[in-house]
Amino acid sequence: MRQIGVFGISVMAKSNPPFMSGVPELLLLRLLHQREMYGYELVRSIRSVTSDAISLGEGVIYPALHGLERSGSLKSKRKTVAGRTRVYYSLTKKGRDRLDKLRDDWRRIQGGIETALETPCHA
Amino acid sequence: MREPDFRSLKSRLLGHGIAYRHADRVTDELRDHFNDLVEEEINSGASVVDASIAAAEKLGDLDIFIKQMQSRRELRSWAFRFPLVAIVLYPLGCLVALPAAPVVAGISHAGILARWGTSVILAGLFTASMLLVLQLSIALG
Repeated sequence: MRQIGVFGISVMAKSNPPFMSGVPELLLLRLLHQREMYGYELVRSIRSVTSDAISLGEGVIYPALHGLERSGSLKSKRKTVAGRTRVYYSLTKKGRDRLDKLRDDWRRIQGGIETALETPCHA
Repeated sequence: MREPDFRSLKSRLLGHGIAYRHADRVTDELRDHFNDLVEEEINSGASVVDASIAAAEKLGDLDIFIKQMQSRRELRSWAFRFPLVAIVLYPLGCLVALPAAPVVAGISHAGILARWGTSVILAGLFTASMLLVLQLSIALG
């Protein structure tokens, strides 16, 4: 299966920002909607839930997390687990609203592409 | 152990205009992430050296990471977000605030200043009266 890394997404985002730039954000918000997690856990979860189809560059997840926190969609807190201090992220009310919006946007795009793929071309 | 240069990462982030709280925390997070990756590699049978190399590769290039942080305007410190304010308005504001600072401090500590002023005046009067008495006692003989 072809992997799309965040680096790949970033490159595409430069040429078409509204189309691809929300993908890592959507995935992060979706996963954090279930429970609070820290960065390493999130990368593993993204791989797991997307069956390795989307593999985030491990370090690149943090700018996205900090950006979402800055915009008020996430909140963070330090927790000591098994002797190690982790920064756990969780969703805020604003983040849930943002997730709903991104999900609707994504479904609309997905629906549009599926329609385009099913429509026979007469070029 | 081949570890990415986390020590310089924070200062590089700060140098690129990232706000201190983000630069500080993200450096800790990346270091923790790296340690988790090393642990994962060791658990899957790699040697410490191989685990560190693999973990550094998985973590990615720190230069790209810095660029990703820099590309997010909201993570920059206010001086980098509003350079005009930092270069022009902030020093002007300081110039205005500097002479005003003693006045504001005086108003906010008016009670203490009044007590201090009264004691200085009373001490002055007492000294002057003592000098007068001394002068008169010399003059009158």
